[in-house]
Amino acid sequence: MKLPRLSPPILLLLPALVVLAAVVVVPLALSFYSSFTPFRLTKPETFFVVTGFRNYLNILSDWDFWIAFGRTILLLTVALNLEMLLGLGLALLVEKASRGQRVLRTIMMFPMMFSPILVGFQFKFMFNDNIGLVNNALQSLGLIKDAIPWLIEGHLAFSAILVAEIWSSTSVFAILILAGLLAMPREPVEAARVDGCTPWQTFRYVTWPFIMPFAYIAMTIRSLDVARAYDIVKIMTDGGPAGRTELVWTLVARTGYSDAKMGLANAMAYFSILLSILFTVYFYRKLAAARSQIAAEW
Amino acid sequence: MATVSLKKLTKTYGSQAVVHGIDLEVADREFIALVGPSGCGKSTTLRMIAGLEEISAGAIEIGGRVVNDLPPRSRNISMVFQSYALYPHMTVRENMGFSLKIAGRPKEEMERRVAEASTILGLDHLLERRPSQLSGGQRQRVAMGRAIVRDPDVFLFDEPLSNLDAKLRTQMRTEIKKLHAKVNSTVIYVTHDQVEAMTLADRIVIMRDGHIEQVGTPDEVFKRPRTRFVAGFIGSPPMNLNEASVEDGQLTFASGARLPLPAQFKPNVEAGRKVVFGLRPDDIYPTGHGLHSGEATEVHEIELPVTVTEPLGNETLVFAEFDRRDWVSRMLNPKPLRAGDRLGFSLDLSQAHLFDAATGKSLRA
Amino acid sequence: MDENARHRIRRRSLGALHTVGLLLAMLIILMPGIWIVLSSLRPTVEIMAKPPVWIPEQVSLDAYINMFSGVGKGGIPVLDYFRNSLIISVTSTAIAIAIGMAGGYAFARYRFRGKSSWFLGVMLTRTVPGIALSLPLFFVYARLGLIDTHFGLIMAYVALNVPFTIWLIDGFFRQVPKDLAEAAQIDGCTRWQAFWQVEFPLAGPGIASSAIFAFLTSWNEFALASQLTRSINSKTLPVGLLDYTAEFTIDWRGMCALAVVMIIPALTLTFIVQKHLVSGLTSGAVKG
Repeated sequence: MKLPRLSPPILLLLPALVVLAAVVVVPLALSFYSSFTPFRLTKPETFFVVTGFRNYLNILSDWDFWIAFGRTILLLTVALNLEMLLGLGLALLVEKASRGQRVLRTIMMFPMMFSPILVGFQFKFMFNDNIGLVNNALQSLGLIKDAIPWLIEGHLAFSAILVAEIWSSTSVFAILILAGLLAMPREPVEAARVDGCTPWQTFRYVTWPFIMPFAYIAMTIRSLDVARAYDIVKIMTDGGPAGRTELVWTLVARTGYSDAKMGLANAMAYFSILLSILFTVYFYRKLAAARSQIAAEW
Repeated sequence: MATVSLKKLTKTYGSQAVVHGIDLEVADREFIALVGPSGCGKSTTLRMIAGLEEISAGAIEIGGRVVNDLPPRSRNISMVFQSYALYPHMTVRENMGFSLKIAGRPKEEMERRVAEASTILGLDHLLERRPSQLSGGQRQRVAMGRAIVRDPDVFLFDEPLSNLDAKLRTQMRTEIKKLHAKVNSTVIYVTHDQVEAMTLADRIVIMRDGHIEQVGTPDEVFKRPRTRFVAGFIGSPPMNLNEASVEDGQLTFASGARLPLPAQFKPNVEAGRKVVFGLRPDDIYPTGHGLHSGEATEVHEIELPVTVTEPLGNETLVFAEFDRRDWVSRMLNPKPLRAGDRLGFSLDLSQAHLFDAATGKSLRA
Repeated sequence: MDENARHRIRRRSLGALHTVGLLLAMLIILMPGIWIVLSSLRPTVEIMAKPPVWIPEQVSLDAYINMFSGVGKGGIPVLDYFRNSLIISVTSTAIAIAIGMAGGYAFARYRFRGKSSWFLGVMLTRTVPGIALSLPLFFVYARLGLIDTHFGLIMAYVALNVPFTIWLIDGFFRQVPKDLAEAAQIDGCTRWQAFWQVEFPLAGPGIASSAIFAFLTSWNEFALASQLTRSINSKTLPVGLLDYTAEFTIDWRGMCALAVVMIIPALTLTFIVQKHLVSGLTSGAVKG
């Protein structure tokens, strides 16, 4: 039997495609199918019962789900924006440093290299009401009397998670924007100074247009990994207490594994996948536009 | 009044001094060129005047006002950069009008000034283009347009023609000269090309290793160079320079060759002095084929072997061996020569230069 | 004169502000890590002390000794977790790099129909959140008996890493001029030889950085590992960390020690990779 001749690039791509198909595409297809069933792991025969859109309809009318979803979007939006701003500020600070750039850059990269579980652990430790660094410091400085229940009260817990998330991912933005700043040609900036620009004006009219694509690359890369927040929340509060910090992902895990409602969980999962794709596509588009603009002008 | 004063201006990086306390007075509307080899400190000086580099010591005054710590935008200057430094994401029009926009000038004024500058520089048909769509020469003109729109006290040029090819450079040189005549402001122009400096400047400042070697009009630095360095730097082809010592009223060269000591130096130079003898290619010529044939006063005739000839059409550069070196001479009304021919050369010693071998200073009275 | 003084003062104070800001930022970045390391070295009594003890008075490596000397009551099976993490991360990285090199080379050097769509498709698989993927994967693996095995997790991590390694390696191969391989072929090499003799060594540093990045991704991954592992046969360090945090009486000191053990490989690799990683991400993305 003669095998069909495959062109070299397809041959080279084959292993990748096979692995991705086996581990991602096929399971996703299965999960998509199962979202239309009342599949429970404990009752495997339910896998073959098709109940149509019932799972999805349940979700659409499930108030708790939408709160979790809304909370997730809020977390991501606030986090990404703050990370962008802080990352920009950090990059600008480091770029101006005249000495020790390599050390600064390495330190900047540290948070990126921590497992989100580790990040969650660190901040769980620091925000602990009894022995946490934050409360102890505040009390020692005399700013507060009683311990602040960082991880108990709903809004505070949300903020604590936000802090952990921002600490963890700001460096992605900082590093990439720094790369852009270092790659920028110097003379237009000097020309701007001679032309009368204050530092702010120089930034706004000359620096920012150049580093925009780098900021968007960072956004795109970041949005690939929005689900990192799951790891952080899982270890810090596990969606609690009493669901006060429930995010889409913790809800999915709970529904699928604790409640064993696989079919429903898969349906929810597709909402979360949709969320990820939306974020990624949105920023990828912006990136592509900025890229072509840069290529044409610079 | 847009005068510029440099008083003991110094720049050090760590312990290394790059500019050693230089003094310079630039008059209103004067075109000053800073020339010198790479690393002589001319660009650093210009950038200090612009405010793009911090001053280590000394003072800079523009229009009588001390500007040492003022940022560039407060000095009322314009600058044309070596790589033009245009804003890539703005059109030519926006590039030129940018400084006015930042200053918050009214729109009609912006448009008027941009139109004026554009007409002077021939950019009218390019106003809506982006820099990436322009040629090198066009970009340079936009950079100049950006500079003149603001009508500043002083124009600074940082090697603006270095990135252009030879032919374009000659063209743009003329344009800059015409521009200066029209705009009539103070200009400080940095270049490593002495031809540019000679053709454009009212006065030339020759710098080396962070010091000023000489300041003078093109005529002065050409005819009366104060140091050996200036003599060898200004003029193309460069001056012929040979080391010698003074003995018995004659110059004795290393190879043993001798020339009479030129009359004008006799009073200043004692026997045994080590000197450097200089003679420009214009002042050496195959007898009868020179610039000043018939008018020269102190001519010494000598026979030299020809090594190489470079015919240029109306003249030929003849290389002849003297004191184991090739001397360059200018031959007008050239006749064909062959390498190895021995020819009679006339040396116009009244135009000779003599420098102290140790200090390099001119020994002219 | 007055104006000059004003600007000089402003410049100096901005400089000081800049330094302060930089120090503050670095402090914020380093603080959690420093605190964890400190806590792992202090006796639990000190950690729990009220009012809090700031400067450590007693320092010891007890937590680490306990960890590595054995399991025992309340001990954390660190060595098992470490072993699992190491095997799984290294293996999945090696496979992912091999596949990534092939795929990256294909995208960098060849033109074929639908190239950008394939690329986008590969990238999109990465957008699936780990926890969402874990559901069907759990079900499939359960059927195939792959739960709690090294192999199962390795396969999952390969799929997780392939998109990114392809993106990075594609970028690095593009930085190697095409003519070099062609010159080698004219000199007598086959395409295969030309690749290994010329292109591979030049893209080497970049490929090494991609490997480190893939390793770290596997090392730090939690969502998939938490569901696809069941016992110390295959549980990785991140899962171990969570398991022990959830216990009611928390041995903070021991936890911190575990955290430090997790971090060390990551930090050392960071130092090595920092320069290349950024260039790979940006060149692969901006110049396209």
